[in-house]
Amino acid sequence: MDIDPKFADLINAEIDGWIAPEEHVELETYLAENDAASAYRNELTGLCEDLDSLETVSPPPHLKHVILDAVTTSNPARQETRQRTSSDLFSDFFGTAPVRYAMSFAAGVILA
Amino acid sequence: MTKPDDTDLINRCMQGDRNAFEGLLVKYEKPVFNAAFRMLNNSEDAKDVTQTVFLRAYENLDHFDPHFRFFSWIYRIALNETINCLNKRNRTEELAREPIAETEGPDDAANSDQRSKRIQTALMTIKTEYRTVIVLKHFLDCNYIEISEILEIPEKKVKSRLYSGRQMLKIALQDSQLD
Repeated sequence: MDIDPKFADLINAEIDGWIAPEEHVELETYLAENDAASAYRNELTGLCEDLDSLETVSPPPHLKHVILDAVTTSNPARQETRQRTSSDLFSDFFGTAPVRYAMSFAAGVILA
Repeated sequence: MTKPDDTDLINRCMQGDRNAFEGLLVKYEKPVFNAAFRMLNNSEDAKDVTQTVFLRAYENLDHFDPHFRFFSWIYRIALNETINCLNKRNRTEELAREPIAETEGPDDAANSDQRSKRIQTALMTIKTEYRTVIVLKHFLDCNYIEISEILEIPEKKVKSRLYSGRQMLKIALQDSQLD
């Protein structure tokens, strides 16, 4: 006996927990009168339980480090695009040699 | 202390914070690798795909639209990369026949391993577009709406592919038992 496609969809939706209460009642009524559809629901439920229970395949432990090394070498520009802070600007200006000498000279004059 | 969310990690990552990228990697490496393995049935290829996915994600973080969820974006990259990998290989017959490894230990563990391999082999016999939806639903725990967002297809199409994919998988498993 063929299963009405509408109810085959409802069986799938029920398995996924995406069925409205009134659809659930409609499905149960249909299944009560249709052994083939009941068997189909059992098979499909079993298949989905099997799929959901399969173990997650883990990546090799070293992969994380390989990826981190790869991104660091692939795009070093991003390492330099961090937001510049006020202390960066301060050191950029006052950190240059001529400015440092001028500041030392000025300090010497003031102290003298 | 609460874990930083994806948005926070992405923002920090874009400012060059390597630890923030590591945070994203720790969170998504396993699901991305698992999805790649389920799509490709080959650990080496899954490893290469995972590496490419994170490299692409890192290089294109500037293009990430924060209105979407990060996992949708990275899973989309992952699935596109697996499809590229499948297209490059073009040796589907071999994929379905990865040798079954000898297992040691209790019967339950061996049976579970055999069952897992049988399902994986059957999964490789169904078309990529159906396999993709099954992987997202059953291995990455995505719901219809999330799958629709990741694949950029209507929810109705997600359901149709998922239901058809399950039916194909059921038939493939029945056929494998007859062999």
